[in-house]
Amino acid sequence: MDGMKSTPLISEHEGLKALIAPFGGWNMPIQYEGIIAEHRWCREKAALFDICHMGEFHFQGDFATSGLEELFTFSVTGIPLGRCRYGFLLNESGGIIDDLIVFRLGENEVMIVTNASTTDKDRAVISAGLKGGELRDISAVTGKLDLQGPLSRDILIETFGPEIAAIPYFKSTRLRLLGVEAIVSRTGYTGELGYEIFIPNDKVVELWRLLRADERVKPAGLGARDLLRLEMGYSLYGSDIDEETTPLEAGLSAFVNFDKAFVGREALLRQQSEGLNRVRTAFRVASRRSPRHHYEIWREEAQSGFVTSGAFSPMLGCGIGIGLVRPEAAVIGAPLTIRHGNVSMEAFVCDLPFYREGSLRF
Amino acid sequence: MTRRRTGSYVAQGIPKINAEIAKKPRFYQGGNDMTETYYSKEHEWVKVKDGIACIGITDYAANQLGDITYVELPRVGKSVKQFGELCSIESVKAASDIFAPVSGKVVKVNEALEETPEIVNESAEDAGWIAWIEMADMKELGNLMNLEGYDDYLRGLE
Repeated sequence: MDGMKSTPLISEHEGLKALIAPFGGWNMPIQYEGIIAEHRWCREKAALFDICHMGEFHFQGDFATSGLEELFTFSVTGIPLGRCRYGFLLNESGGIIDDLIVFRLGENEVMIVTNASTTDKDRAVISAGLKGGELRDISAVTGKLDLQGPLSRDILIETFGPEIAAIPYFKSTRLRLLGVEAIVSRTGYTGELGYEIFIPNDKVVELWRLLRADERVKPAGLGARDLLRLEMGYSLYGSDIDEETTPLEAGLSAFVNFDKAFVGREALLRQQSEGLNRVRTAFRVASRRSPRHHYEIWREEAQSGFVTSGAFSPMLGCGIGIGLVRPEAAVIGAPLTIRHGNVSMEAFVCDLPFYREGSLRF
Repeated sequence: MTRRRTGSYVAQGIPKINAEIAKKPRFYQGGNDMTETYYSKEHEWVKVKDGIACIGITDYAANQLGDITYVELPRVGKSVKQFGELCSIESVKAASDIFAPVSGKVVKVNEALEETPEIVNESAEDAGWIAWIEMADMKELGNLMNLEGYDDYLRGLE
């Protein structure tokens, strides 16, 4: 695995005999005990994820005059202090360079959290688009752990104090953890009550061990993370969205604010007026079979599109998937056939999220 | 990796096991009339009694696959050739083909795997059996490995 980066927790994962594989340029734990067991632990108790591979940028400066305001599909100035906002960095054609979350830390201060595989690309695009302010890539010194599950709040309150309880959904706060400044947000990728903890790299092993000492916490890998996010219908960059997909096609126009300027706005407006050739659809398989990335989606004897993400859902007990199809096929209840080679499975279009019983808003 | 020798079938500890399955005759449990177990390079195992082969995938294969989410059982009555496709299996990670370790006709399948395919992860070489095949040619067992040979083969793979 040459050229792959490792997080500070690699020895911890090796000690736990995790299955480690490359992801987004990093050696990451895919599973420890087993993907389904870890998924279940997250939905029932609290799972701890090593997410150090994601990128973080710190920006200080006036959002409007620096040009930061026009880079994302949402207004940075419009983010209330302490809140987080999800949206996109687009190219001129409206294609998604990355999906990301911006944390409004202060009047003129934000933290931008990016995907692991796109950190370098995002930094280049954002730097090129700025004409002021100070952008610092703090990815190399920032560790991130996600603690997700219905017991996560209790665990963090007991470990770090009652301030954790005061963080509402999609807000963040600065806290002193283990003697250093950390940022904790009530955000996540699982659909359960959960927190993302950003802490300097040199403290992340200590934090990992401290949280793992709680018997209600078990480590979970990227395999479980993928099942959890798919059951919520969350997109995965590189699978469901990429530079050839626009937020409109991806069913994510809710995160695009047309009332402001942003790179790609004209292209999206054009696409909107011309009509979309393909749209996101979600479907449930009528069996336990798993649809997978790039399987064909057929409707009424003709191929209508492709699966972008698919898996067996432990919560639903059947296969689930998201794909891009011709708009006629994306009708709730419409029967589909998912094909790959000589494999074929019946499915029907459904709504998102697949799983609705999570503790996300508790 | 350590080769776990399968012992007797234990219903407790295997989640959601069908009580009917537990009561079925212990076809392949240890006994004087048991032949030894044979193994294929594709990690299928075979135990033979009275010309009927009970087959499944090995612990090694189940471990490689990860959590099994679906088993496409072969149709009863299906004719198979040694090393030809028998059926398929899916795990969280991937879809995989299972090959028939012997030629013959499928006479019985493990229906419990339809609802609880995870039995294969819990007990691949015992409760997780996949099918019984009425064998066409006993001499075909000569094309397979015994336990010692399979262990050597696995060591060579690591």
